[in-house]
Amino acid sequence: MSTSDVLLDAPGKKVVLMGNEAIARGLLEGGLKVAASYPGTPSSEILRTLITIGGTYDIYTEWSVNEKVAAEVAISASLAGLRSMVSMKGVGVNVASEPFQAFTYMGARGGIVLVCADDVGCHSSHTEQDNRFFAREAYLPIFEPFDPREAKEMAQLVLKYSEEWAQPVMLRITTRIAHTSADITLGEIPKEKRKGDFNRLPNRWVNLPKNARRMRKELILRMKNIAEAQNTLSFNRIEGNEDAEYGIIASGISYGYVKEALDLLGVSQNVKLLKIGTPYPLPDALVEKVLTGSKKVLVVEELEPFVEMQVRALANKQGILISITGKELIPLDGELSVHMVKKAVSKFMELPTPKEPNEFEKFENTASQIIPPRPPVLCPGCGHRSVFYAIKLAERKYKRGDKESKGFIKPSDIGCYTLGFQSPLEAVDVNFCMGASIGISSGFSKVIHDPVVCTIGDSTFFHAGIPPLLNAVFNRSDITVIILDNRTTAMTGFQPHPGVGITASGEETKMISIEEIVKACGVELVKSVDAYDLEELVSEIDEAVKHKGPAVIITHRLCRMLELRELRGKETISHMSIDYELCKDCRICVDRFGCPAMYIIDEKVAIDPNLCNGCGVCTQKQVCPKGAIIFCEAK
Amino acid sequence: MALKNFDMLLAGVGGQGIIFAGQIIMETALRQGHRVYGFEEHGMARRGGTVASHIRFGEDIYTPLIPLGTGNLLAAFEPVEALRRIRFIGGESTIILNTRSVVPVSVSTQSVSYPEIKDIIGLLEGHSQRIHSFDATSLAEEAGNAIAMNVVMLGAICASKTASLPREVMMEVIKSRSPSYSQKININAFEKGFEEFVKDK
Repeated sequence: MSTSDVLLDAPGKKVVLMGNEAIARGLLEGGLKVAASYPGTPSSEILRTLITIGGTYDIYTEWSVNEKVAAEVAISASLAGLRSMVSMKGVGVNVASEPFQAFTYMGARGGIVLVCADDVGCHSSHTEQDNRFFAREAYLPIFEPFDPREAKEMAQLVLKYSEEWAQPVMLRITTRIAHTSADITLGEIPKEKRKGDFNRLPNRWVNLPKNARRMRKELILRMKNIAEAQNTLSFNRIEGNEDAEYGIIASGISYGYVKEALDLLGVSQNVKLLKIGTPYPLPDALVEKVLTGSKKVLVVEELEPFVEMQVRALANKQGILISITGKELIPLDGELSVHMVKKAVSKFMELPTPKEPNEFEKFENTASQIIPPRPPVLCPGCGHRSVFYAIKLAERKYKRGDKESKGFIKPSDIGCYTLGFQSPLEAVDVNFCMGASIGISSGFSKVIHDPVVCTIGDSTFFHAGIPPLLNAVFNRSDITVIILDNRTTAMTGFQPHPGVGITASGEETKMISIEEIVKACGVELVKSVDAYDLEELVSEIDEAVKHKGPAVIITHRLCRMLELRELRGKETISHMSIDYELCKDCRICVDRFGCPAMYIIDEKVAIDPNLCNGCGVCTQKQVCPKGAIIFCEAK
Repeated sequence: MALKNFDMLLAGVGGQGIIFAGQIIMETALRQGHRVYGFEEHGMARRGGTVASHIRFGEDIYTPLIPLGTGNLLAAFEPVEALRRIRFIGGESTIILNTRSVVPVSVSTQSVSYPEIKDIIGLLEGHSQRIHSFDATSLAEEAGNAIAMNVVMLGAICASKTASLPREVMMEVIKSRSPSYSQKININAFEKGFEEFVKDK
């Protein structure tokens, strides 16, 4: 998994790659020339890896400003006859939706794939959206691998497939594929040097209604032909005992769970198993073969009954009257596991209920009672913490002046700073999608009397924060917007954005000033503050809240984790400790500031020198009125 | 006796170097000719959240997640994290435990308490007969930097011989994957973890 492994021109060699790295490698082997993305867990490592590859193998890569723009960049490459990809997390597909809905009518010229990383189980997303339905709606054939090895094989194939069928496709993975590492066999890297060219085809590339009506007919025909060919793809196959009366159909990762569950139950030979790698278009002939030769059929898939609905429809269409089970036994929410599938298969095959291994559930009940929760929190040294702390200080001050007020309404946005909702900061009240903080605030300001103070990160502001800010000025919304500038897209792994002055491939570019954008949007009160300076922050928030109309405060501090990464091996980092002579044990630091480096031991506050990274914010009187938190020698 | 499959779980807290340790193990297993799977489970936090790495090698593995109650080895980089992930581990397993705790923020802010280390070990003993607990963080500090605790744990994992990962191969992988400024510390840390396990046995 060293970055150099993915670059090796060594066909046949095995290396350990993460699913996302394997996909990047597969795309390279499939002749990729252009790649664009907006960072989002669990997809970010795909473009990160392609950036590493790009320099050596002449692939253009970019972190685009959002998923819609990324999609358009990849689509233009396809129009120019080059093979391209756009990758994003599942919810990003909503942002990229419109270009794909239109482009699918025109059809691909160069092969093009939308790599969609859905987050089954909501590991790091706010919905479990099943984008197979989006792909169906946009007529994108879906490739759904069951593990990273197959993900790499599919990535290697999809660009050629897309080009041959002249249709954009989706490679749909989930967190459990994206972030799983496996031994991956490297293949050939193509030596072809293709150059982009553009041919004016106004009847195809300009989708006027007249063209759209014609192209839709062509699209429907294309998809009919694709559907017939799906049955011969090796990603779709029947395994196990072809004469068995039990049939199981499993798509994507569910195939793996079924394989292991059947093995643990010792019934692999009592089942015929249809592995689905392309849930749309479904390999109808294979499905029909399973339906006609079985007494009953179970469909296993995560989230929505996407395959199940098609299987039921096919059975109905062909007049096959057998029992089909799916979501009656397989949950609609969350990830599956071998354990869950084992239970479902036992029920389906009427086997005795499997014995719980080692009575772990009983044991876990005892253990779970003493396990303290470890909620995700802002890192030590994070500039967001001090801003949230200052918002709370300003809010308390405001409430002292207006006894009727319930305090500020505090919408926030998507990024590390969402964690500002956690105790003890509790400085985030509403949060739901990229850029929503400002739009939501505008709405609140029209219907609620209390001040609205929202927070949004730098990358999120560039992504989707500018139109709602314009809207707030246009519609005279009385809001305070705090833009938390930590000079990176931190949560997803430190990707650059337009404010950083560096492109994905590390070239210098114009550094866009957030202040200038905000002023150009027509905001009259615009302030810049050091995110560590509590006194200044509180005073600026006071003023902004009093101001009529939208006010914007931009707080600046490089993400401390990124800063430490740059300092690592070069400089020693100091840390804080407590002067117990001065400490009066008021606990403001732990009860309100909540830095994870601070903890209570033997009834006293202590600072863990391994966690503290010396930001020094807690030495200010707003956190420690007695000045008992002091800098210590470098560790 | 050769195991059919080997399932190992590394459990700890963000910032403890679980992912690096997992990469070293997978690379070592690959060099031994195994088919490998490894999944990093981490939530939203860059630091301080709970993290686990499922590592599996063998021929009949199709999913990255260790089936409940079947794991062969649990290496807990932090005591309560052992309890949090114990459901993946089988009764015939080995548990390697770093006794140095990382107290979560919830303990200072939500009036919950951090359990006594001896109570944690007591509970684990109810689950597995082979528990090796020691302060890996101290050993890392002795080796030159507390941050090398993950490599101390690698030393102990290697010495446990449960996964049949040869010492020289793992050491070689660690050397090749360590940045120059931490190479010496990592070598020391690995040796300390290895010797601690052997001594304890």
